[in-house]
Amino acid sequence: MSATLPDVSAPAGVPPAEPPPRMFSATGIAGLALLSFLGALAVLGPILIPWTASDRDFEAFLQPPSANHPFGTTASGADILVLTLLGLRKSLVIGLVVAVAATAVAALVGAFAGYFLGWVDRTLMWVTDLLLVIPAFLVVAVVSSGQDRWIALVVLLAAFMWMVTAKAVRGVTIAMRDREYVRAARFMGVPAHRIVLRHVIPNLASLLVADATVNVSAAILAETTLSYFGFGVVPPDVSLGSLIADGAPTALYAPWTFWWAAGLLIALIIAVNLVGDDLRDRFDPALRAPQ
Amino acid sequence: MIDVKDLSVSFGTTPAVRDLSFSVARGEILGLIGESGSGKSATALALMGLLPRTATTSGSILLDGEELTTASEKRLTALRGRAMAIVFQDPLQAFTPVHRVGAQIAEAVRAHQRVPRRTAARRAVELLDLVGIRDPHQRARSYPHEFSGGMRQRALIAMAIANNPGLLIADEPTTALDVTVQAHILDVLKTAQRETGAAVLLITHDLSVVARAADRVHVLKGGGTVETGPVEEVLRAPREPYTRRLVAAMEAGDRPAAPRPVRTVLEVRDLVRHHPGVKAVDGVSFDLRSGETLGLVGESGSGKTTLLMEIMALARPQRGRITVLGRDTAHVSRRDRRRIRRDLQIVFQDPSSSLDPRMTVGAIVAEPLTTHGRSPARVPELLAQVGLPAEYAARHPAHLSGGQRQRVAIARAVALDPEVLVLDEPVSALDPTIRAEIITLLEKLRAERGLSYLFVAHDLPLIRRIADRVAVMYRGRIAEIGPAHQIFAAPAHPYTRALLRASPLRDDDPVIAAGCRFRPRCPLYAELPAAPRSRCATEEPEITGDSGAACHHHPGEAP
Repeated sequence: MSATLPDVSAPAGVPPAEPPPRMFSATGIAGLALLSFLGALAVLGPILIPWTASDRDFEAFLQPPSANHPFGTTASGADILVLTLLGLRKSLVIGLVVAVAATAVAALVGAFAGYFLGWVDRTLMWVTDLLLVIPAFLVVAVVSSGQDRWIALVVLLAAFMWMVTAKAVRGVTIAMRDREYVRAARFMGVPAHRIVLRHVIPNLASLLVADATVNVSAAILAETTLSYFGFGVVPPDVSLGSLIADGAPTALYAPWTFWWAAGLLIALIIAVNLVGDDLRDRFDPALRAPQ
Repeated sequence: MIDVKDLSVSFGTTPAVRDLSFSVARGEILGLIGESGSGKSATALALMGLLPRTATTSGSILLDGEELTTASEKRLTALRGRAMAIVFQDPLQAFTPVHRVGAQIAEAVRAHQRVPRRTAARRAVELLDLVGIRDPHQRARSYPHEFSGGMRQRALIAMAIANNPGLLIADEPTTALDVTVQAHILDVLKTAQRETGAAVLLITHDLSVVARAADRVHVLKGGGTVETGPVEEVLRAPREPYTRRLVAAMEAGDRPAAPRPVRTVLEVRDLVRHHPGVKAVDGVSFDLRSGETLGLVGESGSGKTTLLMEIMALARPQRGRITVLGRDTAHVSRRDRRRIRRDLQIVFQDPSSSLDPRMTVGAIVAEPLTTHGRSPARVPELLAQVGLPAEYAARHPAHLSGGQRQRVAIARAVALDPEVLVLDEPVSALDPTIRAEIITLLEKLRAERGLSYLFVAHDLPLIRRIADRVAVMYRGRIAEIGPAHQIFAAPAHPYTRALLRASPLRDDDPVIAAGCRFRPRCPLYAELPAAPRSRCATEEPEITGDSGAACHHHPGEAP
């Protein structure tokens, strides 16, 4: 058990060298740039702008964009630029946190249920089914309206977003149980929970990334919808949804009260989807392998 | 019939086929042999005009005097199926699962001939009859999944010859099948060729297939021709070193007897594993002694893999007893089970699925070490032992060749210095030359470390080379077990004899409730007089004494 083999493998072709990590695709770069730009805007914008959300300009009610108020003002004289950027900040945070949390819960519940089966599976899937049949929108609307902290909204949104993915993950995991590398790990004596965390979930990464991407958009839209109907984010906090709701009545004759928030929402969702598509491709070993 | 001149195919900058020329006359079978990557499949696709757009082709392909390389897509569509047809390797994928087999064959008929539905259906039954499917009327109404692998391959041949094509391309038609069924399919292919008078291009990596069926052979390597000539001539006196190596690999001889085994490391007694409706393992007993290699052979579906999984599970079996290194698996604690796992490791058939695609080679080989609380510092040493450079530790399995991946899987299996290694067809997914390298590696490791191998394979020459003893499985039971030289020189069980001679056996036999389960396919049973026959029908034969064969009538025992 020492020296190197004399018959070192000399396969017909030269073994393919590990290629350098793939660069982002053009659409991925565009998405990343747009997302970074929106993120920077949301973080830095409100700090740099001389107005705050509670300031009122009593010389400018419902004024179109001007040098003083680049995005215009509301009927009560608030600066729309600062409101929109604060709303973007909130929507961005809610979208990302909810998506990551929901996908993580889905991955854990689905993978453990699918790997262990038996009573673990029955219990977890019972909870999953229960949450699926509860009318999520109503529950979130009612429960969150008593809360003025946005974090409660995040928890509620995440709690109702993971079930479908968890079922998909469970199905894939059941198929993966019999993959030879999972069996190999089992026959090696690797404990079951470590097999799930080390072999099963990492191999679901492309599914999970795709799901998280969809969830970012879905969470932002859900929050927007809730806020539009007056639940969700409540004053003095603002989100893109509450801004769109506030602007909707005046959208026809004072379009600046509505379109800035709506436009940023669309840009944000496009950016997240572009980045997500690219990430999914990067995480898929089938697409990474040499042809 | 078909005349190929200076055919070159390349994908982007990679040449797949280089200046290939051959011709097949009507009524002739040409064997095209080579390893994967030798350009066989690209050639088949080029002939059918099925190459992807990214491929560039030059040279000429004349089918009955008609140039195919410049033919329009419309013309090719008209020719496919009628003038030329192809039989694929995997017949399950070639059939649509939701339609009946007969209907699919009839559809192929009606695609090129204007005949009424009724006539096409009748023709489908005739074709199924021609390829030797019993009860063709009944079987035409079955769905593809109700057919065994061999029957599906027959049905696919029936579909291919439905329109009397001038050229029949068979792309690895028997690779997915068992030896005894392989022989039958090749006979069917010959029958089909005789009936239609077609020119047949038989593509394979298996020289014995060519030896059995082809008239002439064309040896390919790296896209170019190595050697060509009549089959007997090439097999008897191969001119090129590459061909000589292929022929030598086919005719590998006995391995010398191993030093006397010392103790029993694995003992299986009357093991039973029934799945609902399937008696996958139905009373199997054998011993594996330290330092020896026990070869386990049998068709797919004979229960080999189930048997291995039962052993590897280290759990209480449904019935029977498994003892690993002196410990009965029915009575071990969880902690002992983990300890046994150190000494009992497995290498799977296909390394591209047994290695986690997300982990690096280093992490894969380190996993058993860290799992059992040892330092992963030994990884470079282990890689060196299996003949891989230490730098490969940073790579992912996707960037290794098949042979290198299997080396990684072997390194992982021996990382904990096990005593017993279970090898589940460890080389059948590899090319013949790589196969020889891996076998050499396994033999070296066994000699160095005194390992015991339980070696599952369906490749008999390989078993003959590597095994000390051989167990032949049939339908969940061991048909015969004994020293390798005895099994190969004087097989006692009729099934072993058929297996060794690769004599054709029927593959669509019913499951037997009582008596000898090999009865419906048994050539001996067919010849027996009525009195001794009744014993086969009522009494399940056991392996008795030193004979090693589970047969009532094997030589040495009075019938």
